[in-house]
Amino acid sequence: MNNKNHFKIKAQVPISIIIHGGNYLGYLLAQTLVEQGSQVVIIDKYTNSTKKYANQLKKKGDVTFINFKGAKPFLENLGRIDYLYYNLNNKLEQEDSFTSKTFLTETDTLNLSLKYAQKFKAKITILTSLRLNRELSNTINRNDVTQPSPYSNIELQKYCENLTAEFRDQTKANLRIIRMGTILGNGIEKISDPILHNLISDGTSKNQINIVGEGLDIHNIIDENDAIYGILKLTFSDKTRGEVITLTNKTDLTTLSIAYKLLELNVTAQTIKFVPSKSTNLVLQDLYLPAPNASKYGWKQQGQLETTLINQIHKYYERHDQKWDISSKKISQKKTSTLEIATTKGKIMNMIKNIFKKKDSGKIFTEINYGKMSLNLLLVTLSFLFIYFLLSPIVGIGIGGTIIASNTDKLKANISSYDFDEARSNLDTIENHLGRVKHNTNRLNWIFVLLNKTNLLSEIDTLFLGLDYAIDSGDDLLAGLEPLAYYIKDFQPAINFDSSTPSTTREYRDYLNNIEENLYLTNDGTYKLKLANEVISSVVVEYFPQTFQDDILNLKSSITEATTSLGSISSISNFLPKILGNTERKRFLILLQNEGEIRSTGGWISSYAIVGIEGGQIRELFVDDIYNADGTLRIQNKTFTPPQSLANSLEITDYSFSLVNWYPDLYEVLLESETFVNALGKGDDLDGVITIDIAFIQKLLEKWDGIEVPGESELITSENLYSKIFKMHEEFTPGSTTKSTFLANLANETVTKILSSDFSEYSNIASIFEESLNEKHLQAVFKNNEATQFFDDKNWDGQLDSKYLSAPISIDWNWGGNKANLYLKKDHSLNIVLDEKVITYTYEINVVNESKKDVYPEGRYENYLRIYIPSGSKVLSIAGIENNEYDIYNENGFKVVGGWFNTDIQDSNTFIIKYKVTKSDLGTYFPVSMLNDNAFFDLNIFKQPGSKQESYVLNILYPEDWNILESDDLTSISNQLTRRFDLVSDTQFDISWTTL
Amino acid sequence: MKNFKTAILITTTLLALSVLIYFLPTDGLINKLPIINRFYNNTTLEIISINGKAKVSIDNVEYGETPLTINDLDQGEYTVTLERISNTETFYNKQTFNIKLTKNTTSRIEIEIGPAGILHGSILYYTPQNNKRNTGTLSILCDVDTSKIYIDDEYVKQTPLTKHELPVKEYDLQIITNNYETLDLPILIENGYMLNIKAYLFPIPVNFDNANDE
Repeated sequence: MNNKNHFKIKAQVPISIIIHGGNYLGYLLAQTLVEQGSQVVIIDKYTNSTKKYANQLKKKGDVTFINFKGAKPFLENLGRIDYLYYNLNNKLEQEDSFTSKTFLTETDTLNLSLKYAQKFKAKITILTSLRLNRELSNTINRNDVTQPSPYSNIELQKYCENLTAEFRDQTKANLRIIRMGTILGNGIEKISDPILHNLISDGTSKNQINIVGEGLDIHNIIDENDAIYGILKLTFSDKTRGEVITLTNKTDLTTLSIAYKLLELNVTAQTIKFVPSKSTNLVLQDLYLPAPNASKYGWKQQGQLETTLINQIHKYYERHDQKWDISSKKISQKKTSTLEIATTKGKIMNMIKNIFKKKDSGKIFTEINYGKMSLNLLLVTLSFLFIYFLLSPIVGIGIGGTIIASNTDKLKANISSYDFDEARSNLDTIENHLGRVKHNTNRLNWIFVLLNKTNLLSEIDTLFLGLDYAIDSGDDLLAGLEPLAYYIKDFQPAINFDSSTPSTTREYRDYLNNIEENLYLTNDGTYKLKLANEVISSVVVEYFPQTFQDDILNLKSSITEATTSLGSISSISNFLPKILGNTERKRFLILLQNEGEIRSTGGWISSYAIVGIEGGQIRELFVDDIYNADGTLRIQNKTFTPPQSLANSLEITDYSFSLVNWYPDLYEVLLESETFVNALGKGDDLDGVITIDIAFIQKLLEKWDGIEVPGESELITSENLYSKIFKMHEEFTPGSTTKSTFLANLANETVTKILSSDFSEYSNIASIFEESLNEKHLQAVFKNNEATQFFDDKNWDGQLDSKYLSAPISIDWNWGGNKANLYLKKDHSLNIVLDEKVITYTYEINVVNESKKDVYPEGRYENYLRIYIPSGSKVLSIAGIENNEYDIYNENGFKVVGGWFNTDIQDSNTFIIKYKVTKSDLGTYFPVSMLNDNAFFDLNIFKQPGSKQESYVLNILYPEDWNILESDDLTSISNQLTRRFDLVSDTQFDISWTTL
Repeated sequence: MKNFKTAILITTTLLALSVLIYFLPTDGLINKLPIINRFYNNTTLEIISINGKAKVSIDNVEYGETPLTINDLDQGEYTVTLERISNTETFYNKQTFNIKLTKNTTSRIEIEIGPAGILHGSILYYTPQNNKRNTGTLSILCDVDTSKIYIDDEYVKQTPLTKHELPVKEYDLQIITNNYETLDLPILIENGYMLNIKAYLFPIPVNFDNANDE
């Protein structure tokens, strides 16, 4: 086949000639060269075997097959040769010995090829056999080994290598000799090394592997892919010029080791049989020293021996039309690594590649797909951002909100059932999840910014701050108030109002001590709750979506309610242990007052009780009618000197217990009472006094829808209480116990019901207590400073202190012996003209007596009125006092204007007083204070205890150059502040101006 | 069908990851890392008792006498007990305060312990807060309600004061109310924090001279 006329040399395309390229190695080499863009010419005999490879190669690209017969003219006329691969190995494998003609022909072909290649300065590679070179070496080194025949393949290789070496010496051609190891692989149909061929043939087709001799002869093998890679690498490298190189795996293998490996791989043969050798060629000790290995020139073995062997075994089984049932477990496919470049950067790249390489990939060479890698990286990043900044926060807020809501309900239930440990656990859970919800909300900040909802974000932030405070306070309050809760829960009175015999000896000293020890927690909790309330109250609900607005409003009101009630409870904790006698017995006087007949501290004293408390338990209880007390003292000829003002005003000389509340200051009443209590033999001193108006009991009865009182045939309600008292009053004779027994029984039932209430009922009753204290139907003053301070802060202590110097105080004293106050209508008007130095007050009281007849309980309102004003004030005018006969005197730090201000039935009356106070007279007590460029006026209007809801009109005129800063709900018109309100409790206005 | 299954799988995975992130205690993990935890423990607590010395216990551990500066406590809430050193055992009560320590901030207790539990001074600590740029927040609570707050001599409002925003800088704070000693202290407003102050005012002893004027 002459391809001379068809072969066209393409510019820029290298031309590679492979002589003896018609075998599998030539095929692989040609295929690789074509893939790399080379024109390939294979020169070989045209046989069935070579034809197969030639046909396959033609399909792959630019490959030309030249028969040896036409080789010479082809080469002669070839315009260029870039690479010459002389695959002498192929020739040497075909036969062990040749004829002389064949021998000479081969050497001529080699000589000719070298010359033509050198003509074009081509790179030349001569491929020879390492195995034959080893055999040649052994024959030379050992005398006992038979010498090869002159035309053997060993000799041919020797001759050709010498010829090549001489050619190189003469021409300095770019030439190298590569001695190939035995090539194995799944394309090798028959292994060139006969011993290995027999070994694998036996292993794949027989029951045993026969090894001739000891099996210690050495074999060098190489994977087919490694062989191609090595040939190309060594040819292209200039460093190999003029060198003889060994291209094989570095490890020498003995026949025996390969046989064992075959057994290990579970081939057909299961045993090894050693067959005695008849030949003298067997080597006992191999002294062969191979040429430098290709690895010296940068070649690196890639194929693992086991993999190569397995591939070869598969091929042999295929030859025998058999299947090899090798367990996949037997194949240990060690991971291959590809070293990109043997430099530091290359190693780094290799590491990166390894990360992205598929672990189960059998590929030796794996390319990094940087585009895909970047895409994956981007996708992962975007997914992370999506989850972290959108999905996770939304899911988190949902989960957190649900857990918080659920635990809030449980918390309430656990507190109600006094399970404080569980409640603490609920609170911890709420705190934990609130923190998480907050973090999640922070991660959504970008949405708020994007939607321009920064106001909402700010409000949410405020809300979280408030909730943080609230939860912090909850922790402290739970721990602080736990002993108080248990005290309320476990308390059982040892004595009731019926009997003074103790029914139990149980004390609660430990509870009280614990309350005291945990006080710092209670106070801290209250502090935080106050902050929480302040913060949450400042949240602007309108910024939130409609769906949440109701919830936030509910939260606001709940937190305000909690702050108010818990604030009070925690304040009470400050003094409760002392009041309840944790260290010593405490004794208190309780005055039951009837405000239908108003007196200074609320009303006519109907009954009194003395209660002794120690260790949190009632240890002493005495209750009696006030007339009995007076009668007892009269019988005992015990007389008392009345206060001067009382004697002067009412023109009496006898002072009785029933008049003990002449002073409007409850603390003075406490001190005055001690004398009477002592005279009655009920102890030397008192620790406090508590006044209870009928109105308070009425409120409780209204809440409870009445109460059963022993000895009474009907339910006692708020409606029939007064009629019952009036009836008993009419029927009362000194020494009678009817009234006191009824009131004692009523008090006993009331206290029992209060103390047996659970927590939820307690909150209802607590509101009545608070309301009554605010309205002054219930008052208490103690010798304990903290207790009095607490009551004073809330205006519950009934003391006239300096804060009331800012407005006139009116005190009525019904001396008509009737209950005319139940039929009165009263209103007040106060006009104040102020500047920074002088305040002028004009105070007016209007009374309408709606009594229809002058019969008990109705009648003429005989009232001794006292107006308390600052002691340094100057009275300018007084009108409305009967006969204009009034007294002015100083008492307890106040100036008192007193006189009869009576009102007949179905009549009205007006009292007016005008006075002024100056800064020079009052000093620090002057109600207007100046600080820098600000003026402050704290106005406290005193409500007389026991008085009903009375109308009050307030007008304040201030200098025109002052600008109002805080008006505290007063209506501001020009330089005037005004307001009309009902005086149901002490009322305070904190007003401030700028005076610039 | 395959796409539907894939969608369910992806959705489930995303939700599972979201839930995992929610429950992952990131802060808890980070502040246990060897070097990073120093950043979390970077707190300072100063305790000063005015006009006298006091024994200091923090969470029932004795730390010595005032004045005291303690560094590197973990951030969190602590219970500080001050016991004024005095020859009269029952004259001064033991005082207990809760105080928060926040990383990279200084908390301060500066208190005069008077007889019968009367206190004068302040407790000051910072808590993290989202603020606008260059602003911080101030909260003040006083044991005497409706005391007047002045910042750099400007009247602000009555106590309590909550979440009051101020530019970042140092200020002079005064808390004033009638019949109580004025509390005067310098404060530093910092961005990203709320300064919490609890103030205690000392009642001025009553002067009876005026009562005899008439």
